Amino acid sequence: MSSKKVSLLTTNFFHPTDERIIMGGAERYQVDICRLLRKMGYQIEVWQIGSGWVKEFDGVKIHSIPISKSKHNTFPELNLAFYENSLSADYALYFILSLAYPLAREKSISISHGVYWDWPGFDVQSGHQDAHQEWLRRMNIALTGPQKLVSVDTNTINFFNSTLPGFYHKWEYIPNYVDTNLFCPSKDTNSGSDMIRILFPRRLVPVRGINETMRAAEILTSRYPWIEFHFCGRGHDDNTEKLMSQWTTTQERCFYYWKPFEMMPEIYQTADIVLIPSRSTEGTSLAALEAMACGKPVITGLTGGLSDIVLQGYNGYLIKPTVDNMVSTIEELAKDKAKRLLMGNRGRELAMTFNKKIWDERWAKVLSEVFR
Amino acid sequence: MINPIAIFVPNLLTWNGKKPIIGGLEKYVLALAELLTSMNYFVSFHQNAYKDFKTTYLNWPIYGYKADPHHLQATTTRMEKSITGRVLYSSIAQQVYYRPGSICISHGVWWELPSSTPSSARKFYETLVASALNQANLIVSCDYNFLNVSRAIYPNLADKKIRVIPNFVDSQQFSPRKKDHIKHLRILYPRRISPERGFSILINVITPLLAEYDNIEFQFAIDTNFPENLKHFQAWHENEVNKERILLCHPDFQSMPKVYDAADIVVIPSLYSEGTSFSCLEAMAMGKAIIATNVGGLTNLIIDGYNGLLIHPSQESLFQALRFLINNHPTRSYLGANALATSQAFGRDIWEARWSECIKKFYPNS
Repeated sequence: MSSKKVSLLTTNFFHPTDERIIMGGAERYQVDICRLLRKMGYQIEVWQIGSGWVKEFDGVKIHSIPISKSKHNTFPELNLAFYENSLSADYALYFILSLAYPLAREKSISISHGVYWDWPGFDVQSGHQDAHQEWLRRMNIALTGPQKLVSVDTNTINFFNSTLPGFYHKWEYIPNYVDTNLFCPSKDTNSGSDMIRILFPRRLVPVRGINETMRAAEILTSRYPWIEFHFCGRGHDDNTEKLMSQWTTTQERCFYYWKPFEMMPEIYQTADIVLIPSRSTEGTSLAALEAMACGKPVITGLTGGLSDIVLQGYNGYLIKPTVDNMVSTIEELAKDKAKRLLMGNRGRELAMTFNKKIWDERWAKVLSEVFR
Repeated sequence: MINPIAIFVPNLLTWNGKKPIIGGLEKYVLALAELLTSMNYFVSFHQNAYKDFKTTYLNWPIYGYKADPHHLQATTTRMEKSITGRVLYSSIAQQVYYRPGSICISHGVWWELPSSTPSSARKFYETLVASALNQANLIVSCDYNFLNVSRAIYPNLADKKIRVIPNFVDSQQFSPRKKDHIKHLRILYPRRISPERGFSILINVITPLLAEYDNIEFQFAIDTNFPENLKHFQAWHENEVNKERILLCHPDFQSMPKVYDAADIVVIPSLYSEGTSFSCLEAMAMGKAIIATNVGGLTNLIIDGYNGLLIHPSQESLFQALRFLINNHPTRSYLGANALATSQAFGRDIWEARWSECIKKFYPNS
């Protein structure tokens, strides 16, 4: 029997025109789901926006469809072109919920990586009240087509149950995952330094709390000579990265760099406190899970799926990421070594329940229910 | 009278004012009244009733206002008119008018009924949630879920107005003790018998489980708030083959520790309208193996496979989860121990400290 074929639709795995590739959480998720599908014996092809080029990544062909229009935060033309182009495939995966609008393959699954309409800026995109309602109406159609809706957090499920009820039994909560062998506590526990290292391992964008973190860094590094801040992540463009580098040259003990994925375990291991101060647009953050798996206490925003993985006061803190809140929470934890170690150990224990193996099993179960 | 605060509450006592209602909201406002009293505020309660009454309960004056169950807004309007001064609104679902400077409490998203429609859901958030966000000065939410759902609908306002203070458990009252030996492995349902609490999915898995395992029993620790619901329960119970292993009790707040103590597994199978459930927190503090659904604020308490099992709210998932825990004693112990450890992050002192900060800021003492 020849193996069955799965077609995956996304918007931008590769940038449609630019050569710049940034492997963020969503991109890593896509690579991992493709690997799982291939391990289960499926053939896989990917479709996205582009000028018609075909590329390959990690052994998977990525085709592009020359469409750039999006309306009401949906992509009807891309969706329809995909429907036609993927006719030879047996099953479909819609990598973003809105991509299943208006027409979904019969045996298909949609994925949510978290709520991305919970920041004031979304209003600019969706426009006035009527346009927002039109977006919601389209989302209702997008949720109707696929047989299962997989969400990385419970926030997405709760939002839709509270606004577009009726898909109650389609939703599956499969939280994000971490490779707990790769991301593990350092064996060398004695760094020999009295410096407390605070790590911000995120992209340099406002929804991730970069602005507040920079202000908190200015205050705390000037207040305590034993605190240092490390910013580790890409910006949206070269200019943001340049501005960040310039800023660090004016600051004492603030550092900016980015590292490839393979080096991230070490980056977490050398930190004392990890910040995930997201203001919105957050799922069950891979960065938070990786920090926890490395045995570190986390200070996170109280948004999206973060409250699905962090227990306030147990393995870290869920705070509204204002400058004041960040300063006082970091200050408290920086001064309390015993608490950092306790919270870090608990974080490691919790991270074990988000082990990649468990994620594979949960996904395999859903795939076998729909793709048959 | 100094520093009066009027607390609006749907029903602290029954509609005739004779009996306390047993439930999470009631437990919450009583704890809050104790805190306010200790901070030198003079608390009074205002609630729905068959006819107007005034009585006292635990030394607090309770005012009943004659209400029509189908037009509760009219009663809230009357309460509003009869009081001058500060009001604390104990439930966001009760009213659409808030006086300036007031605090209101959300006990979690409550309108997400599986049988609902987009337009009826919209009515709920566009009237009740929007009024509170626009008019009240502060909404204290018992879970992160209400904040996150509200932020996804009203990004700016929700961040400005909502503050999360998770529910608490009193570790002096609820802590593990040496368990009396009970012949059977006991599974406890410590909730109201109402649709949102998942009573229906639970009773449907009981028959096959009792038939499969002769070493288990189910304990229902339920309320008597609504005699109708109780009648349904009794009718079902009467016809069960293994009914001698289905036990029933109606504990008051004080006798709950003993009820948890006798159990091995506690189920919290809510379908909708759930916050950071007191029952779940109490079972955690008693070190029990918990099965909770991934609904509302329960996901803020339970992390699947760490301090309990977090399941999809369906009969099939509940059935499988119960079989798994019945068969796995070591897992029950592991989950129970972690449940106890995590419950300590939800201490009553933490809750009181956060609430008193809010009270001092929004209702400054004269």
